Amino acid sequence: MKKELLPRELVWQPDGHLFDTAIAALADGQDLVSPEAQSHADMCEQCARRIGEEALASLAVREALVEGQAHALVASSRRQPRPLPVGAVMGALALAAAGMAPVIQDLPQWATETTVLAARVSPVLLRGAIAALRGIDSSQVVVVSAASLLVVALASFVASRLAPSRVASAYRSSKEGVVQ
Amino acid sequence: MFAYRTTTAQNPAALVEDRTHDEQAAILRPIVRAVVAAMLGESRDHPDVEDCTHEALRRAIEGRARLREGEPMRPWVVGIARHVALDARRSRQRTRARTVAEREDDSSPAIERAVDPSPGPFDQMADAELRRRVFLAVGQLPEGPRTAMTLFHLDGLAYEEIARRLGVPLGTVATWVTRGRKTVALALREVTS
Repeated sequence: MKKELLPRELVWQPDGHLFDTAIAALADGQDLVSPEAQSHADMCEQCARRIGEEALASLAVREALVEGQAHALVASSRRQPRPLPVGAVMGALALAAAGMAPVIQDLPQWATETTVLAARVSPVLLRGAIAALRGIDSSQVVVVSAASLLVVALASFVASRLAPSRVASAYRSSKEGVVQ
Repeated sequence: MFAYRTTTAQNPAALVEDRTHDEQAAILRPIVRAVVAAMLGESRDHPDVEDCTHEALRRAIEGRARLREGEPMRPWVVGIARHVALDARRSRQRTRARTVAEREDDSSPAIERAVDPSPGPFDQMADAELRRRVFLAVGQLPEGPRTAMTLFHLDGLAYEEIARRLGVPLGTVATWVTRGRKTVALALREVTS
């Protein structure tokens, strides 16, 4: 079967150089021009330069499309929150209720004892807290602030490490998934 | 005679798997040389172009195992050629900067005169912004060119397969791809100017 080639008017310019369509086809590795046009591309410095530039443009567009698609995938996955697993939640609640069943009969007594205990312990805890606050000097405040700052910094670091990996994995999966 | 055509278009299997390294290099050499020459702004027979071409092909063939399954070979090799040519360009800039500094007999420390070869944060941000704009520009193309470009660049289909799928002549697909890329380039030029 004879291979289909680009029509002549899409291959040759009036000045004897190759038309943009032929340049793009050659840059994209498409075997769609005649041997005559191939030979011209081999010999002509100007057309070869255009083929190089077109190949670079083709690569840039491909990279932008792949990356843009990956970002779109990530964005769409963020826009659509996962549905609440109602069944699983209800099952877990039912299981918890079943587990509590044996102690339900002791519940009134437990509630009374807990209330009494809380009433006795609360003033002691309150006095202790007030005493501790009065005893803190400025150096302790600095230590507490530094520790808080460290915790916040660690949390930020963990978040920043997790976020790019999600983008990268989406990027990789989009490349592997859609590019043949 | 060397030929820009390949038997593969976007299909790497036909290109690499059943061929010797020499055959692969012979097939890829023309496009790699054209890309390097375009990047360096030199003719194809310039020694630097020849060196970079050789280096890019060597890296491509040696690093072929890193090509992910299903990833098209051609853009990957063009990417390597671009990288190698970019390194050569930066090396030229460094040499030029060193020569100028030596001529001016600069007494500042060498570390201050050194040119960082890696792209800086602003370059990286600019690249990312450029890619975002290319993506948006492609999205604004008419349906035909947009579909053709997506099928070619993302789905990796050859022009002929795209023509069959869309039910249009081969020349129309080639024109859509060409015009699509031109429109994107024009849009970017307008943004950057």
